[in-house]
Amino acid sequence: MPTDARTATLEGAADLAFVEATLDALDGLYGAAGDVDADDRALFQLAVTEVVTNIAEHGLPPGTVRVSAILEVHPTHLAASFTDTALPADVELDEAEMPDPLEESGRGIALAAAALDEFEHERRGGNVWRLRRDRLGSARD
Amino acid sequence: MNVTVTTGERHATVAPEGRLTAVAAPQLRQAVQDLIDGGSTRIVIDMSATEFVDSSGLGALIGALKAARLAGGDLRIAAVPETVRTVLRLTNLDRVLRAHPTAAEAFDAD
Repeated sequence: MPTDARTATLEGAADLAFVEATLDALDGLYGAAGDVDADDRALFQLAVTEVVTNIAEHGLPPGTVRVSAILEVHPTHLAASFTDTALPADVELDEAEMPDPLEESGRGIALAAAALDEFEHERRGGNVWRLRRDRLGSARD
Repeated sequence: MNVTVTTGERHATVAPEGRLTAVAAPQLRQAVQDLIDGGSTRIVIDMSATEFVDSSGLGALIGALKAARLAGGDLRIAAVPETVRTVLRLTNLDRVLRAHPTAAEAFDAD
C-alpha cells in the first residue's frame, strides 16, 4: 500500500505572484502523483486558490504580509496549510454563504468550504488556515 | 494568462487561456470594456482554453455580463470545460451564465 506523501513548501510575500507560485507547485504535485481524480484536482485547487488569494488581497496591513504554504498529496487525501503574518482575520468559515448570482465578490470562502472536507482557521499571532479534501474512492483505505 | 479578442459581424469573442484567477480577472474585464467602448456589445467568452476559474474569475465574468447588458448587448459563455462547469454549478451561476456548445453558435437563437 502506498504511504508516501508528495509535499511542496513555499514562503514569500503574500501577493498575487505567490498565488501563481502556489498553483504552479500544486500542478507539479498533481503531475508527480499522476493519479489524482479530475474532480479532486479541480476542487482542491479551487479551495487553495481562494484561501491564498484571500490572504494576498485582504491580509492586513497591505503590502507587509508574509505567508508560508505546505501542500501535500497523500494516497487518501489532499491537504494544505497556510501560515500568514497578517492581523488575525475576522472570518467565520462555517457561516460563509454563497451570495446572489449577480454579485461580483464574496464567494471565495463559501467556495473553499464547499470544496473541502475539513477547513479550519486559527488566529495565532497571524492566521493559520488548514485545508483537507478526501480523495474520491479513497475513504475506506 | 493570454486573452485573445476577435471581432466578427455578429459578435465579438474573448478567449482567456489558462487560469482565470485574480491575476487574469482584470485583463478579462478590460478586454470586455474595450469592446463595449468600441461599440461591440454582443460578446462571447470562449472558454475552450480556460483551464480553471475561481471566484475572482467568476466576479470578472459577472462584471462583464452586467457591463454588456448595461450597454444594450449581452454576454454569453461557450465551450466551457467540465471543471469550470462544476464551479458554475457550485455558485448557482449556471443560471445567469448559460453555457453554449461553441462560440460560433452562442448568439444563433437571436
